[in-house]
Amino acid sequence: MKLKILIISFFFFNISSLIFGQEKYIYVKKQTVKLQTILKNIESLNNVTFFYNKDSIPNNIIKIEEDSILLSKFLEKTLIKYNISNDNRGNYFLSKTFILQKNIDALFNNKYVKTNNVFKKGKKGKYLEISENYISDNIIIGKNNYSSKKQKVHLSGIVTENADSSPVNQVKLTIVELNKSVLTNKTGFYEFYLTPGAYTIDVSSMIMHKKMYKISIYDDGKLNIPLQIKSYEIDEITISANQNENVKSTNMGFEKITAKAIKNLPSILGEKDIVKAALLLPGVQTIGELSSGFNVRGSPSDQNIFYINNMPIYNSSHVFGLFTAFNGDAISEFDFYKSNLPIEYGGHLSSIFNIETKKGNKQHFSARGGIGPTSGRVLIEGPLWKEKISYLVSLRSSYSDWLLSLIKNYDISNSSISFYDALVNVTVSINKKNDIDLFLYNSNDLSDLVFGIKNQYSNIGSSIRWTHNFNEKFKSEFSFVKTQYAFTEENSEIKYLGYKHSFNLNHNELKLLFKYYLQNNHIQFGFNTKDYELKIGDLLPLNDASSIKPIQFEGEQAISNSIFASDKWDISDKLSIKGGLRYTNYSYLGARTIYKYENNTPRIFDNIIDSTKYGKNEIINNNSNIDYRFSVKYQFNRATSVKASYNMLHQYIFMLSNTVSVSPTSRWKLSDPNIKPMKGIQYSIGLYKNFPKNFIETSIELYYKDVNNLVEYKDGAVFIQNKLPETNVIQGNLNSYGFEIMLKKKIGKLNGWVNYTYSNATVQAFDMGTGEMNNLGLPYSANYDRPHATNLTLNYKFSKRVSVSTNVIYSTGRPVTYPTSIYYLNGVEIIGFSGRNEYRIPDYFRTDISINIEGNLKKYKFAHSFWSIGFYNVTARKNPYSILFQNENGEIKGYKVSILGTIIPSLTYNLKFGNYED
Amino acid sequence: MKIKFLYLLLLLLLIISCREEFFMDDVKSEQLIVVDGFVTNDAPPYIIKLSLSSLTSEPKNIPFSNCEVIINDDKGTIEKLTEISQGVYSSSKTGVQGTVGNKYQLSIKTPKGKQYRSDPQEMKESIEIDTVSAELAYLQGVDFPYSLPGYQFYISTKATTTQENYFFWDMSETYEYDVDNELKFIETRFGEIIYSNPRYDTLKTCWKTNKVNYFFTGKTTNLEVPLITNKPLHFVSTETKKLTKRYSLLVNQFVIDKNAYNYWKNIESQISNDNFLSTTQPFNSVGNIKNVNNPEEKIWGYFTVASISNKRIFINRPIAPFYYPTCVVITDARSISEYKRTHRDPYFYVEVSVGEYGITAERCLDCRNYGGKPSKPSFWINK
Repeated sequence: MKLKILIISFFFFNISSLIFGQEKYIYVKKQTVKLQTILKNIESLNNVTFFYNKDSIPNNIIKIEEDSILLSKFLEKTLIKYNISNDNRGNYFLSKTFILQKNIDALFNNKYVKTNNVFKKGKKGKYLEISENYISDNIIIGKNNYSSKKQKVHLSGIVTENADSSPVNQVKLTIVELNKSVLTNKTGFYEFYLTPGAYTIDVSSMIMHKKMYKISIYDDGKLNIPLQIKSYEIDEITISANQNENVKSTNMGFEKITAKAIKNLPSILGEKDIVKAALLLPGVQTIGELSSGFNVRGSPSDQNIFYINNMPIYNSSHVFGLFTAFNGDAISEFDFYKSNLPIEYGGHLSSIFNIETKKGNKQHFSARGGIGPTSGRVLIEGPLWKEKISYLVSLRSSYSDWLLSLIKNYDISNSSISFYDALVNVTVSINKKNDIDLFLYNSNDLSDLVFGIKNQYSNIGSSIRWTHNFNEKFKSEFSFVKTQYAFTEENSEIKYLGYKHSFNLNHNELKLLFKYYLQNNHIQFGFNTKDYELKIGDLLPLNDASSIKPIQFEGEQAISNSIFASDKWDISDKLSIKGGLRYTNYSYLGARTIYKYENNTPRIFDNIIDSTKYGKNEIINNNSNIDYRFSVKYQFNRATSVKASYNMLHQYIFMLSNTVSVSPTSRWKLSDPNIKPMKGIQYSIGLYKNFPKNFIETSIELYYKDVNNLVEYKDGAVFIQNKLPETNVIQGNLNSYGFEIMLKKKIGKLNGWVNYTYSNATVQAFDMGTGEMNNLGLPYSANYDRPHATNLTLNYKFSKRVSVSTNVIYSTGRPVTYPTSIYYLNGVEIIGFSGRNEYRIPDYFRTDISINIEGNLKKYKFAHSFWSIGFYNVTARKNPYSILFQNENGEIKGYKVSILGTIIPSLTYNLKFGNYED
Repeated sequence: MKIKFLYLLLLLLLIISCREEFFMDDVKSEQLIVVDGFVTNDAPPYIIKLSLSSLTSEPKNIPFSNCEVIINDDKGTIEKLTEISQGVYSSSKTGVQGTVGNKYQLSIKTPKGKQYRSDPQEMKESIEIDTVSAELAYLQGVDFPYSLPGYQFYISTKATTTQENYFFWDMSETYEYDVDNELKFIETRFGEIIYSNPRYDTLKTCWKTNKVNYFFTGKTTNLEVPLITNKPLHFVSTETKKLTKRYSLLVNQFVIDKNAYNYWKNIESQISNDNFLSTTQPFNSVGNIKNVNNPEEKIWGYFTVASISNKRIFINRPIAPFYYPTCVVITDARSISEYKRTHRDPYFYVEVSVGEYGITAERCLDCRNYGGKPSKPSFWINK
């Protein structure tokens, strides 16, 4: 467990004195002994102390062949690949990398007594003696005499990979003297504003060898930095290079999850699921295992949006929500925003999941694959034109039907469920200023249940993204996206009512985004247009046995145009503010018939007083709204800050569903003259504190949220045959508040996080205008309201090849409507229900464990394998998914249904070309 | 009943779900007034039942007595109903008459003076049943390891001239059954054998009539032609004696209005919510009776006005395996002597297979112990 951040040895290294000065002979027996044992022996006999990290220095058995030996010789001989430093006081530091004094505490368990920082005494050239990775040429930028006019000079540059000049993201550059750090962005760009003078720049990255430059800067200038990819080291663990980023940025309610970080998380049936990892974050809830939606800070699932490489995905799940519709191997990371949504996004009130796929390897062909109990997957990548164009193709497909056929039940063995997903990502580097990404995505689900329900649903889409840098300070991104979500349903449960119907939603989006970096301001502005087209397929009789009357539905169309701008202004080192405005003009377009209902009467067919037919592309109604975002950060010190934010947003598309969970046949609906857009505000404040010595990040965030014109489904309404969607819904209010506490340890032998969320989400469906209401107009808990929720995620590394991960999840049971009385009508026992969601199902508790075993860690090998043994729900607790009540031979019986209510073992095998790391 | 969708689905997913009986606790129960009654175009009397809802833990019918119950029509007839048994209020043969096209209204006054009233309900034109049919079907079970045969019943209606028709069906079943084993002889403690006893001959076969514990609703508004074809009704399995000899189903078809349909459809969906993948939101269906002074008061039930038609069918025993429990017959000599030692005489012998006899309990020779009566109903038609 090594740190890759920075690492300069600021010791007063004096190698000559080490050799000629106080060098010690040590006396050891000829013996075969464990390394750590002999080090202990030497410590006790020789008045020296060794500092090393037990994880990075293997406790191998070594053979000692001399009785007495120079200590330095002994160490060199025994620890050939390691760096040995000493401070002339009998303290020896053993590590695989260089050691920076300020990190010694963390690395060596606080045993080391601090000495003076003697950096200033260091002489040019010293570093070269230590390692070839250190370059200490003094680089002069600008002319000395020229500088007096300027108070601050601008230093910028691009960090690239030596081998192919591709830009390197997330490289940390530190001005050592000022203790000021920046990170490179996706294009490898960095910049500093400095007072003219001499500085030391330390360049470090997780994957690159570090470098150090001495510069003297007198004027604006450039320093492009080539870095070498680190030779392969196994004991790395992914940590975010942006230490203290959570404290420094103005982001709130934000998480970045990398595929690497969750590689070892336990999963259902071995399906690596990066998006499901979001459920372990505070403020994210779900109805249950079979529900594709997430509920973020008390919002229904349609207030979230999933983007994969800029493409919105309207149904991100396979098998009714059991799995996520993305191959985990192809995902690089995702950004998750639950408040303070970035200005470039609009139209969803609650959260954004922005998933980025990996980019194809520009150097050589590579492939990987895996096989688990339900699906197999393969990913290939490589250059089409070396260093210019690369591709990545991923495919995942289920083969689970064989499992079904094993089950000795006619209905089951004759049913089928299958899914696949595929994506293609082509990256073109035209030149240093221009990059183009092409992306194609398709997912598909099919279920055919023998008693007559057949569903198929799919996402298909493509996107193109062109990033152009005018210069280092001014950048642009242009993207065009086309995506479609579609489903078909065939139902023949009751023959004479057998039907089929289909639905599809086309979403086209164009976005132009400019980013302008000034000294203390980061300005973003742009334009975004979205075109929605919803086609509701005719309801048709399924076959000759069906006598159902075909129903034709009118489609829907709308266009929303937005312009937006935001500025992040660093007023001082401590205080930053960020504000943004997004103006949206939304037009609902024909062709469609709009019905007018008599005022102050329920929205039912009988109350229609007028109807108007609009022609194709004719504007039916037009809505203009301004969305606001504002946030402020005040930083007390490097590791502590407080932030506050306010968002006011609108949403024009929502999901119509009469079920508690998201089902594949949930339709989407656009705001129209009868259904107003939803409007949401969110206030949040948070306190962020890091404990860098222990690599612990903590935060507490409070939020308050209000959504007006929430679209709630009317009790008992049926929408499959209903041509008038407005008669199915009531527009109500959602009120939600809570707080989230997070404690995270990103690195160490033991890493992970624990969080606690208190929340409350209440809905009131009572339309004063129409007099319509659910639950007698009284407020009720939202279906996904779980007041107390705790997640614990831990990863423990036993050795370089074996690690164990566990999740422990607890939450209050979700609300349900209970039978509270029994009565008889016409001789049949009938249930009287409580108020809506007045009761709760029992609490949810689950523990998962996974054991991950890496194949051997040789650097040069043809292929690397990785086994994952998982146990889902190890306590086999039968967590209720739902409670249902049935009349069985005249008697009402309650049933508790639990899904995955037993321990589920799984074994997944992964194979890829190349070694562990790449 | 069809198999539970989600349960099946879960089984699909590696048998990873489970369903357990769930007992609720700490539920605040409300005792509400329940109104249950029909006025039809059949000849009176019409029955209105008033009761109070009961706890879920001990479901029972709690009659609500001493109310003043009045039915009036829109032609000026007003009739006060008589409480013929606790909570059961009946009209007279000469009072209100159900006539198609007329409107009827129910008013209730409780002993404490609370007043309830329904909206006026119009009686719709009646529609004939075309056929009631039965089909041998196999229920794929998850609670039992075999597929369970039985009869699935269907109904079809006759075509009408109106496009918008709403139906409510309830059913009553009558079945003929025998005792498990026929008496061969009776033995006394002295070893005396009696070969015939006319008493047990008359108790061999019974007929039992039940109201079926389900009802169904349907409509024609969504159909190309306003007639319903083979709508599934209930399923009768071979887990009981019902299908062992001959089974008869009487289906009552009520033509109701749209509001009544919506009410009964919602109630129906609440008692047969078998798709718990989609876990629809349960709610209380709001009926057509309101407290005159406090319209917000929750009241269960519906005052249904409907025209009625019915149809009866008979079906014989299906050729299929049966799984109902039968009486124990002791056949081996040691058990017989043990039985004789511990039981008083007489001992009832039945033939279990040709030439093999065993003892069974006396109650097993009396078909009335299964709830029926040994007299053939007047409508019964033998095969």
